[in-house]
Amino acid sequence: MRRNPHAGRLGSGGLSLNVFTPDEIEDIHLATLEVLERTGVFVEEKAALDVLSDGGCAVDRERRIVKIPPYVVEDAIRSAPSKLCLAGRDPARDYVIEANRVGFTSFGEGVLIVDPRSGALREPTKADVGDAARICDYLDSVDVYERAIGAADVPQEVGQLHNAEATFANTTKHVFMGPFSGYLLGKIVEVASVIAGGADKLRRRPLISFITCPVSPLKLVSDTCQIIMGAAREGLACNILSMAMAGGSSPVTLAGTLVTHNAEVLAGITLSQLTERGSPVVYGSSTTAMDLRLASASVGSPECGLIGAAVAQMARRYLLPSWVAGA
Amino acid sequence: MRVLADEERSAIYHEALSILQRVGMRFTGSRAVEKLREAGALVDESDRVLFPSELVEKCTTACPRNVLMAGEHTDRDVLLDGSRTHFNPSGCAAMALDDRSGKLRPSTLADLRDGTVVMDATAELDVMWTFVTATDVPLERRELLEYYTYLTETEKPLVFVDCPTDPTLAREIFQLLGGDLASYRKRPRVSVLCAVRAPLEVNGGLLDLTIEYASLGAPVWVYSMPISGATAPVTLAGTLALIWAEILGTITAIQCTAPGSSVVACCGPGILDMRTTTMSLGNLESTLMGAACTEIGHHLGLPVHNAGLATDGKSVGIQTGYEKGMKVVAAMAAGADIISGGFGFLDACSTFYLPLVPIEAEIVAMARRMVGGIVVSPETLMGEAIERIGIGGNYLAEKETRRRIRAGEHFMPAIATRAPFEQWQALGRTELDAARDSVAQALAKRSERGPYLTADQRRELAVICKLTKSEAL
Repeated sequence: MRRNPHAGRLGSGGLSLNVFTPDEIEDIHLATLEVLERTGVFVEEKAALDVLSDGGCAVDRERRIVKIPPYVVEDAIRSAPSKLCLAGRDPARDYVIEANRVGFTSFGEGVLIVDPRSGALREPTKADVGDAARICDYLDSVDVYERAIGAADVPQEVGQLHNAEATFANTTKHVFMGPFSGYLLGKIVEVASVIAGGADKLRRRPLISFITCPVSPLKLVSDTCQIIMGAAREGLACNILSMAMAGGSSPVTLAGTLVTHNAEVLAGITLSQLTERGSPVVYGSSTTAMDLRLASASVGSPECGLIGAAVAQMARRYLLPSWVAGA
Repeated sequence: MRVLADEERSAIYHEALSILQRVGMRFTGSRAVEKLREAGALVDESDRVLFPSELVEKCTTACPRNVLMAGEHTDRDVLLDGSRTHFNPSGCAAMALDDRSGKLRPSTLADLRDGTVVMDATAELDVMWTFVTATDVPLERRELLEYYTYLTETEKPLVFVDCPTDPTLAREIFQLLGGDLASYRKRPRVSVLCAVRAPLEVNGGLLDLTIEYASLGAPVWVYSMPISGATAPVTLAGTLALIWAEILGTITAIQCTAPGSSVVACCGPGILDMRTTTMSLGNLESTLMGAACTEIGHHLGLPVHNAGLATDGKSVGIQTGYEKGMKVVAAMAAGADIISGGFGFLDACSTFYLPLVPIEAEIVAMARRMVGGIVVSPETLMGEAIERIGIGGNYLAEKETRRRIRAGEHFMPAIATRAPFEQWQALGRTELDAARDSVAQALAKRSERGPYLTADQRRELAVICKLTKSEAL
């Protein structure tokens, strides 16, 4: 029996899951704009206050509170690129991050390690930092590498520089890391420039992206501002990743938590775009629920999974690359 | 969650109808064959039945969408109406992992009794199956003693996975449970399962027994469980077409003989692991097929069951956790009416391990929270609180936080640990220890409350089941 293919048949093309309807996404977006306009965010860094003021935000310099009009937020969302090419030291390992393509990375930054030989819990060393990078370099499922652990056996003032060195030396994949300050970001960029063969080459093929976290609820502290602005000026991507805890540093309801989470990330993205229009950003989330019996964040909770799925959908609404803590 | 586009679903359904029309099914020796012939099916000399599509469609439409499985009391009733996902254990294991010795051994009546008690006390489990075989009881007495034990140790709806071989006995049990047969028909406490032997064959004797029980009002679980790559095509789409041919052909045979019967479409496909030539049920292809079956079944107006909690893991370990966790979320998100494969089951549903029951209850509770999703409304967006608490404040002291936590906004684990690492180490308790405590509590409560059913009902049931004095409770 002969059967020819269908003409132009629609297929599902895989399994997908949607947490929200378009109307629900819109509700969260509008509630976020209201928070940014009426309550605003605390911005600690003076240079950031200047940039935001110049960009049309209402700035209370004494209290360091910035109220961001909706048009400024929406303009920032539009000007941020939807697609990033994250270069690896080996071009075969470049990774394209864009709508609906799901990649995987490691988590960071672990402050303790279970010793692989003795099984004892201890602080990581610089050698461990290199080993973690090397193992993730080997694993096909890891598309880009986030520096997983931080060395405790190096001077902590420059710890991230040591971590960067150990990481670059052990992976040819694209690296994400939190530099902890604007100063160290500059130093890490110097290291990366040397590896890339010059600052201009690093811009063309960015080997590293940065991560920074607003402080919930609704605060961009100095280091966060410096990192967002520093990355924007260097033309390197910045993953602005909120870590709200529902019931503690954000509302107990997941919908309410998504509003403050969204406000924090969009405030960071606005700062990035007003610093350098078109600079690459990633919409990030480690937001989860607080276990109120222990007063600690639980990342193994179903709420963390739901928030991750919701955040991915929000980022798709904004046509922005997303990054969620899910594995 | 969607697995199939509308056109894909339709293509699988029409392929199933085509299989029934061109290849047919075999019900050797069944009295349903003559009924099918009368209804317009073509029957050849080997009792192979070729189904006209309009007959299949008519019989499928005749199945009620909502299926009631009654508990001993109404608070244990289960109505499969598409509004929520229910759970039942897997069926008929002959092996158990002994928790004291850690050794694999044939399952016993004690496993059956303890397991039934613990499952009865497990809120996340809605329907009981005859889940384990009492291999320490002589074969000629086994079936009766097993039924007696199930019916005196649980008040949940019960499914006889191995159909009772003696219809007179089953009729007496139905009568006893309902008071009379008319009452049983209204509130069927026991359902039966009719398994298809893939590809495309049902034992004629089994089909006749199933029809006998269906005509008394017992819901029938029509179970298709082909193995992709062995008893079904290697492709998921091909296996799905075969599953639906088997289910719809069997439903047609039942409806032609016992019109109006309630059926549950059960999709329990496995795959053949080609490296070991063993059947795998913990694979994700089975989960994808299960989700697709839910979409197809619901479109046809049938309640759908799948084995969404099955694992190939052999211990309470990493494989068992990730297979059960990943699979059950997908099966629930697809909207299955009822899910089996778990609540104590390891090793492709062939080994029972009692402490796994509370662990799977936790996995299910977690998955239920996950598919509960995020409620978005003016109240849950909490705009007023966000404005009042403002920048840098905290939500911990809010009355609303306490109120909504108690109402279930966040999942609270009973088995899992969320304690800091060093604190957890100092406590020295694993998830398995917590599960064992939960098992011990359920068994202790059973000792306090005694068996179910009235003393008169138990006495009568003991007579029906021909128990000795020492066996009856």
